[in-house]
Amino acid sequence: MQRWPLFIFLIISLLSCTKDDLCSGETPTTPLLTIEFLDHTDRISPKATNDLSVRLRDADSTVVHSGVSDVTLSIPLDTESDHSLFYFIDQASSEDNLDVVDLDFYFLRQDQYVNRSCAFKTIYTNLAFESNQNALSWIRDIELLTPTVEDASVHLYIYH
Amino acid sequence: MRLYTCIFIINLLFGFSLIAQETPEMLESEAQQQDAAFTEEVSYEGTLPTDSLAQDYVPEPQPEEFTAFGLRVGGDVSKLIRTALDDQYSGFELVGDLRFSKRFYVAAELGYEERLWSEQDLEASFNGSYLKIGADFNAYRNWTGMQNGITTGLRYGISSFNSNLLRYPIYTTDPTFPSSIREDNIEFNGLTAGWVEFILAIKTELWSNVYLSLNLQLKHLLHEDEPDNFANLVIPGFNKTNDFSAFGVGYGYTLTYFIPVLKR
Repeated sequence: MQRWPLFIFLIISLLSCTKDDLCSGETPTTPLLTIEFLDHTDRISPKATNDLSVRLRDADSTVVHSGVSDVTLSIPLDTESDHSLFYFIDQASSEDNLDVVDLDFYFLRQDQYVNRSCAFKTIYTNLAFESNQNALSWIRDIELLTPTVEDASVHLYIYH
Repeated sequence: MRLYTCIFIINLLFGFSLIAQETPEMLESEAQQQDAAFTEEVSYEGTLPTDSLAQDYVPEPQPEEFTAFGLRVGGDVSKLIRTALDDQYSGFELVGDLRFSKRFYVAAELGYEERLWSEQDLEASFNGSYLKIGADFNAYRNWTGMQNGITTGLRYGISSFNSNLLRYPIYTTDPTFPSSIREDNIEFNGLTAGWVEFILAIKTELWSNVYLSLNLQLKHLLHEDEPDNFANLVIPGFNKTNDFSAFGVGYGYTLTYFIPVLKR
C-alpha cells in the first residue's frame, strides 16, 4: 500500500547511523617508518637481523620490538615531538655479544584528516637521522630512501 | 541508543497512528459492517432489491464542495523538542506551503541549526542556516470536507554554514607512543552545500485550519565546499553526512496554520 516508503526510510536511516562509527584497520592512518635490512657486503641481498631489539631512548627504555629476526621492520615515530630516539640492539638476549647503536630520527609533522571514524593521522616530512655507529658496530651503513613518511613503503635501508 | 533516534521512532509511531485512523481498509470494513447491518435490517421487509441498496451504500468518492486555496505557515516542533533535550543541538525551522492547484503545493522551509559533533575525541561544531524550496503533491483523496494529505515532494536545499574544529585525536596503530589528542580551534567560515531532497509527509487537520504533519526526508548531496584538511561531518539542514556516500536522512514534525485566501 502507500506505507512501504516509510519502511524504506526507516531502514535507510538506521543503516546510516552505524556504518562508519569504527575506524577500519584497512584505512591508512599514521604511517610507521619501514626499515629493510641488507647485507653490507654486496649491498643488495636482504639479510635478516639476529635477535634485534628496538627500545626508546627514554627514562624507561620502553621496548618497541624485541627478538626480531627478519629482513624488514616497522617502527613508530612520535606524534607529539619532532624527534624519536631509539636503541637498536643486536643479539639483545646474549650477555656477551650485545651490540647497541643509537639511532635518532628528526622530522617535521603534519596532521592530515582521514575520515570521521579515524579522525586524523600524522605524516612526517624532512626526515633525517643521526647514529653513533662506527667501524665496530653491527650496523655498517644507513641509507635514507625518502625524506617523507606517509605510506607503508620502505623508507630506510640498514646494512649490516 | 541516541536521543534523536528515540524521538524519530516516537514520531514514526505517532505518524502511523495518524495514518491508521484513516486507512482505506478500515474505512472499507466500517462500510461493510454498516452494509451488513443495513441488509439485515431490511431483509424481513423483503420488498426492495438488495443490489440497489448495496449500490446506495458504496462510499463513492464524492466531489468536494469547494477547494480552499491559501498559505499554510508554521514551524517544526521536533527541532524545538530536540533543542530542549539534546545539549549538542539547537535549531528551529519555519515551514510554509502555498496551494496553487487542487493537488499541488509550492513548499519551502527555512531553518537554523547549531550542532556539536563529539565522537571518539573528535569534536567540532557546525552552525548555519538553510533554505529548502520545492513542491508537494498530495496523493491522498479526501472525503468531502476533509483536508488531510499524504504528500510526496521534492526540494532543492542550500545551506550556508561555519564549522569549528575544536579537538581531534591522532589515530595510530602502534601503542609505543602515547596517543595524542590535539586541542585546537580551527575555524572554517563561509561554507556552502546544496542537495536535493525527496520528502514524504502525512498531514492531518487537527482542528479547523491547524495541521499536524510528520515528514521523512531522503537527501542526496549535490555540492559542498570541502574545508581544507577537514570535512563537513554535519551540514545544517542536511544533517549528518556520510563518508562513503552522498545520501542523508531527516525527519520533521510540524504544526502549521492554514490561512485561506480563496475558495472555489
